Amino acid sequence: MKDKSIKKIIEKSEVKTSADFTNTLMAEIEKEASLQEPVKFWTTNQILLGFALITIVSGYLVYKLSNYIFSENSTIIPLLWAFILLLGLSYVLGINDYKKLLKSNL
Amino acid sequence: MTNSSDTTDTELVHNVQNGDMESFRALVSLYKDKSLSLAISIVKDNVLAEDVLQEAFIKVYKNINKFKFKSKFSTWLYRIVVNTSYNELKKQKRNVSIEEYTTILNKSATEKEDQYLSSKDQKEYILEAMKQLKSDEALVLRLFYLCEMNLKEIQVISGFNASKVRVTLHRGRKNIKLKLEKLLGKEMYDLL
Repeated sequence: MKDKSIKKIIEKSEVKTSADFTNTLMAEIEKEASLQEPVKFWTTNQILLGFALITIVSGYLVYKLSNYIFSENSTIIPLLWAFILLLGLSYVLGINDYKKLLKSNL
Repeated sequence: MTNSSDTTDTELVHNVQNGDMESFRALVSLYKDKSLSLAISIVKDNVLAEDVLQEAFIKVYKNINKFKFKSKFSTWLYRIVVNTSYNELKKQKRNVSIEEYTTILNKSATEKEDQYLSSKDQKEYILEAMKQLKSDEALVLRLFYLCEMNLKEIQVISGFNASKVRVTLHRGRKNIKLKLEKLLGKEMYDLL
């Protein structure tokens, strides 16, 4: 069989999609796009500010800790730890709320 | 694929990358039938192939910003369609055996003897013969003759090496002729 004949035959083997294929696909894509909430990452400025704050706080903490070793009954350290723990707790609760929001959207 | 259609593809892809959904719809309309034919070559089931195609087009849409125009859009698209189809085939573990079609084959040969084959009948018999081919052979034949891809592009799309593409194409040509002869007898020459 000649190559041209095979081409003619194979061209007849093209299969058409169902009539509503494109519309169904586009609807599915739009649905998926609306479900995908953009994940909000911190901006570079926010990261730099956060890093600076952590540096200051940890620097202060180390300074105070070294003072505490040599002084007696300092209350600043427990207060700072409590503050950091509260921040951590608030962050965890925030993530939990975000997860609930994503689940409700799905 | 001609150069002008490549230009159209490039424009459409650029538009989609800029968020134009209508251009994506145009790309789907351009390639859906050929892509479906490729998917059917592998999964051997029209309904399943349409699901695979939908999944593939969603992948294309999600990743279109990663397309850097290093190849033709059609090559990239067909590769996604082929990979998605093979993945689906693995999931389904569907083994299409020759025996499955033997009844149809024998029935067809006797029933259609000495009858004129309408264009619709011809297409049905060709599709049947294609289904009876091995996935790789049907895929390579359709890529070469229907999608007009060259051997290098077929290598990229299928993941086969150069010699496998050549051998599969050769076997595909030989086997499609055998299948059609079995299916249609002398009527096969009406197709030519």
